[in-house]
Amino acid sequence: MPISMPISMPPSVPSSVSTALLRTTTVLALGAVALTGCASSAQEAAPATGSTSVSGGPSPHDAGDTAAQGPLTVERAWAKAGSAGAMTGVFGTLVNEGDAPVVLTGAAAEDAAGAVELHETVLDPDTGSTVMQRMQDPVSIAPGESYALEPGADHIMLLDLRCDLRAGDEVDLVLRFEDGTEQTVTAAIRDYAGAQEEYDPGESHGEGNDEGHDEGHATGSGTGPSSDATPAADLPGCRG
Amino acid sequence: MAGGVAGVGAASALGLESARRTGALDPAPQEGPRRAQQRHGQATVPFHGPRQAGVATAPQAFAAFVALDLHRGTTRDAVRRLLRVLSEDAAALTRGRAPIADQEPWLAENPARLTVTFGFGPRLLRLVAPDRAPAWLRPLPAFSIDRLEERWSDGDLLLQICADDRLTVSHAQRVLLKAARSFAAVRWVQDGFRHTVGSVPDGQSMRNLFGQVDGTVNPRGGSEEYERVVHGHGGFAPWIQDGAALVVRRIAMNLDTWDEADTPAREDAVGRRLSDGAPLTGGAEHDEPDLEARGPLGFPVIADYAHVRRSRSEDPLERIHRRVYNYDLPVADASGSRGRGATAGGISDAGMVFAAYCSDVDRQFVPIQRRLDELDMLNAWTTPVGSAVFAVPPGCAEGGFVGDGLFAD
Repeated sequence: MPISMPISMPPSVPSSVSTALLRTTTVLALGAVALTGCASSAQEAAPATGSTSVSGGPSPHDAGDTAAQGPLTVERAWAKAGSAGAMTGVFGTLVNEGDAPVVLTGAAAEDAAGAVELHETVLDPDTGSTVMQRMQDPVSIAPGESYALEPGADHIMLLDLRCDLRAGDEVDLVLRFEDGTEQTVTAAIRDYAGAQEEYDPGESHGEGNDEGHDEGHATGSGTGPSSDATPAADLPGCRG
Repeated sequence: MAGGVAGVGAASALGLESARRTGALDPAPQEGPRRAQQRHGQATVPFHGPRQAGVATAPQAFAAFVALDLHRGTTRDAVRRLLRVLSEDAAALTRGRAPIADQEPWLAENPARLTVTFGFGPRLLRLVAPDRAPAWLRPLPAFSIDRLEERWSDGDLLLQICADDRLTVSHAQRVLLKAARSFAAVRWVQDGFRHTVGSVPDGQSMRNLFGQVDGTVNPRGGSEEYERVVHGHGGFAPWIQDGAALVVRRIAMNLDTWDEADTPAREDAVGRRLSDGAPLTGGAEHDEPDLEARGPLGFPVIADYAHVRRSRSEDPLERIHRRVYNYDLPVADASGSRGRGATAGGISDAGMVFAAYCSDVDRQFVPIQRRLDELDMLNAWTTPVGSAVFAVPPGCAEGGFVGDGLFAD
């Protein structure tokens, strides 16, 4: 495999991050009080095109899967499909429609992942490449502002998946805020070839992570109708 | 120059107005800066509803018929997830919104009356709801004129993707195939085209690559006949309320041997005038052919072997609703002429993707095809090379997915 990679695929993460990260993981897990059932029916709220995105201009994406019942409006929450034991990203747009700043400190998904982290993608001034790292500071979203979680940019990382996240299913995660409140977000799971933010927190995960592919679902592609490929779609999933 | 531009604008506006009248457009088009421009790329057809879009919908200019085969070992639950993902993505695309995870979201901005219509093949329906699978959901009986190729036949799941912008079709196809990749493999894709928007008056029958006016006798969406033929109201009971049947036949047209036939022979074969599609017994395109009329020598004006006569049934229930597209594939090293009865060679690889909707394949499509198989002068130039039968499920409500009712139990 070539060493050089597109900017959006961090080849590695500074190992110094890993210990701090494990500490955070524990805290996040403790805070994981399940608030299932709070994913609201507020579908089709404000179109994404109307919001101010922190990381870019207006998005032409469809507005959907909006979840309220918390300080934020969450638009288009989705997670990349992934296999048990692997890690994967969660994306969407967090909109603060309230009057006060909302400070996001962490997240949890106790049914689906051993740990959840907030990640940012930053430019390494020495190498010129981007690397993914755990976010150093909480994210403060000012009133009227929105915060975009996108592949190749800031995102939520689900680590040590406890089950397969399979396209067409959903996964719940809990956002935690500085004031101690929480908000459950339901993310639609999709196959996605990008977001290969493979990331080794330093533990010995053992069985070789095959070159950044945390999605085991595409194995059947192009193999034709008589393929022997049995996609991961048929293994037990988080909701199956 | 200015006149030309104005002319194009006027034609588009007419097309939009017509689409609105027939209910093809959203009742409340979205307000916005683009509103004033009235581009036909902004026209939308609602995805959600009791019936799927793309059947009664006036045919769009471009189509991709995509047949998928489920991966071996696919479970019922995997089919549910596949249909949910495809439905959600299709719903977004038809609104001109990029679906989740669309990596080229700007390509979704011109829905151009995009419709995505799902058809279930035998294997998929047996997997999901075996007790609902209609008896006709199987390959058609063999016809003597058939030269079927597996690469154009059958399939577990059909996506009929249609829009008035070819780029829109391409993008939708790509998005949906990416979403389906972990569940299914592409079995075949048949691209098709008709006149583009504004090139001919709205509602005018298309011409096929033989130059014939095609699709004259066709129940229009919303008509009583359409309700009877496609959805079985007063006709043959559909396999499910608001569902239908779809037969996709790929018909190779030998343009090289067609060239050997002069206008009288061509018109005699069909029973219609080439210039305007009117029956040889006179009048205009939509006038009824007089099958009893005789010429000066006592021979029928419309020959016994004419396509118009042979495709017609006395039984008013024995009808189909056609949504036909032309195809014209590039041919490498094209030269010479395609021989009679051959399905390869010559300078063209052309024909039609013959999509026919009805409520009961065995009682509507098959008898018509059987008559044409027995006798139809057009068979001299046409050869069916592909054939597939699908059960078209009802539409779905906002938040649901196509076929969700079959998972209720």
